[in-house]
Formats: sequence, C-alpha cells, structure tokens
Amino acid sequence: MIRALTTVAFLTVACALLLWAVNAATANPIADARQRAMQASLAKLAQGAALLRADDLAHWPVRLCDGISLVRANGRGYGGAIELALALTPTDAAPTITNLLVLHHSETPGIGDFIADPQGDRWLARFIDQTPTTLLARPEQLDAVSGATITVAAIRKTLKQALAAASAEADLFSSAGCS
Amino acid sequence: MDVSQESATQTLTRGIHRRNPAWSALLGLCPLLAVSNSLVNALGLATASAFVLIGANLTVSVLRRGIPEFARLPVFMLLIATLTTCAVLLLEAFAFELYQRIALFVQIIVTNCMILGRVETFASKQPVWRSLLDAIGTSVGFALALVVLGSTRELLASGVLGADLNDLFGAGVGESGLRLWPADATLPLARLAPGAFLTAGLLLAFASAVGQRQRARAAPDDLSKT
Repeated sequence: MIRALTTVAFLTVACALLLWAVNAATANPIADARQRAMQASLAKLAQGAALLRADDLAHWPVRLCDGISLVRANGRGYGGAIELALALTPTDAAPTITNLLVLHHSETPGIGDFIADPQGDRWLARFIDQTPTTLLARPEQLDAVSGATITVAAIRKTLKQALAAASAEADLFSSAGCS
Repeated sequence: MDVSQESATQTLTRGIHRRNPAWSALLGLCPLLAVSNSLVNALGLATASAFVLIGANLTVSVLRRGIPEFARLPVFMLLIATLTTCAVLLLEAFAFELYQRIALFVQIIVTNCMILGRVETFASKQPVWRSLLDAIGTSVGFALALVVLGSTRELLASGVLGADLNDLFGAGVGESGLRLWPADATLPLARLAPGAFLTAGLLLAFASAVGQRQRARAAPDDLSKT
C-alpha cells in the first residue's frame, strides 16, 4: 500500500515537473506570438494612417495622425471578458467608428466567436460609421444572432460605453506631434 | 483473436481500418465534427491527438507494472491531462494562428475516449513496442478520418483545399490553398455544424457498408455476420 502510494506521489511530482518545464520553455514564444498577433491586428485597424511604432501600444488610447485614435474597450460577454479595439475619428464633434476588431474574447467557438471573424464574414463591419447617436437608436438592421443574444448585447453595450467615454475625453483627437 | 497473439503489422493496422476509432468505434466524435471544417484544422488536431496518444501509451506501458491497481484510472487521467496541457502549450507557442482556431478542441483531447480506451485496454497490459505500434495505428486511423472529413468539408464549402496550411507547416507553404472549383459553386452549409453531421454521417455509413462487404466476402456462407 505504501509502495503504491509512493508510486502515485512520484508520478504526480514527475507530471508537475514536466508541466513546469514545458511552461517555462514555451512562455517566451507564446508571449512573442501574442504580441505579433496584436501588432498585426492593430496594423489592420490603423489602415494606412501614420505607422504604429512598437512602443505606441503601451499608451492607450493611441493617437495616430490623420485624426484617427485607437481606443480599447472592455466588456463582459457570455464566456468572459471581451476586449475590442476601435479606430475612432471625429465627425461633427462626435467620435465615429471607422474600424473595429476583437482583441480578446472567450465566447463559445462556433456560436459566439463570429465576433472575431473566423470565417471572414466580418459581422463587426455593421458597426462601422456608427456614432453615439446612431448606436443609441435601435437600427432595424441590427438583429441579434440566434443562440448568441448575450454576446451581441455585450458588444453593443461595450461600444456604447466606449463611444461615451471617447466623447467625454477632451483631447482624444488632437494631432499634436504629427507633421 | 487475443491481442498478444497478433503480429506487429496487425497491431499497427488495427487502428487504421479494422477498428478505426472514428468510424468503427465511434470515439472522439466531438472534436471530429468540430475541427473538420478545414484541412489544416483537421491536421492540427490530428497531430495534437497523436502526440497525446503516443505519449500516454508509451508512458503507461513503461510504468505498467508499477501503477497500483486501485489507482489505475486516476493515474491514467493524470498522465493524459499532463500530455494534453503540454500539447496545448506547444501548439500555442509554435502555431499561434492555428491555436486560435482550434484551442478549445485541443484542450478536450483529454476527454477523448479513444485515448483512455487504448491506454486502459492495451498499453496497461502490453509491452512497450506493441503499445507504440498500437498508438501509432490508432493515431493514423483518427487522422485519416479527420483528414477525409476536413478535406471534403473544406472543398464543399469553399472550393479551395488546404487554405492556411502555412499556419501548420511554416511560411514556405502558401496560404491560399489549391482552388479546385470556382467560389460561386460552393455549399457553405458544409462548413457549419449541420454540414458536419451530414458529411460525418455519410462517412460512417460508407465505412460501415465497406466493412459489411468485407465481412461478407471473408465468410460468404455465414449469414449471421452481415
């Protein structure tokens, strides 16, 4: 009995060591890969506006030239936190969404992950050119996605809050530092 | 036939066609359906499952005399779970775009009955070499089912075979895949869940029919086998 328990304990320790080793070995590649994916996503958002430098990501909201600002918006979806990145431009003193994408989400694959555009359908594109006023109204073309009501509601709420915060922030669209 | 009497080749090929885990034993159907929406996703999961199955079979076979009888299943689960976590971490580190698509289904490899089944019925009683062959054969069989379904569904849904293969094989392979027919002659249903069930069902039916015919030919006068 003692021998059996010793074997089990030894195996447990061995497994823990293996996991620790693999985790340590892959921590840097994983961090690099995430960073690269984030850079690629944000480059897509910036879309030809002044190039993002690597250290720009440390200071949010990111102010680009050409009057575009990138902001991050956090909300809670069905499976966990949803993080969006929005490219905003001022139109008549109200921030308008020119582009947006999901940075991070935990929605159920196949049911709620359409927000992150796995099939290239760009469900999020319906929010482009929306302002705080148009988001507050209930446009008829924005229907829920069946089976993902909570996800859709979370996205709308997050966008509303982000636009409200951007409206309140005075110098979001200043072009200081651009040539 | 008693498994300890069979030849090495028979051990190896049992998992491929005689007792394929997907279409004969109907194991691992959840990842099979979910991840077969494209060839590269299917190959990714096949590789991860093979890693876990071969690792688990080898480890259990090496330790088979040391694992106490009463703690058999918890120990098996501990080993399989450890290997699954390693597979997830390695995939995230070295194939991040692919990981973003199939992460959930690599994590549930631990629940794939195919692995616990082979470990419990074979690796815990057979020597290391045989367990390795059994693991390889079963992995190849599962990969075969995944690849057949993955290719079929991807071709039907988009007309392109092997899009995004660079996510698995590196930048040398192109990412646009091989277009076999034009984009407006496609059946997008194949990419969605109902399409998964339909194509998987057809695959299982086909495999079952072929198996029945083989059995009938092997014993033509024995009607009880058809």
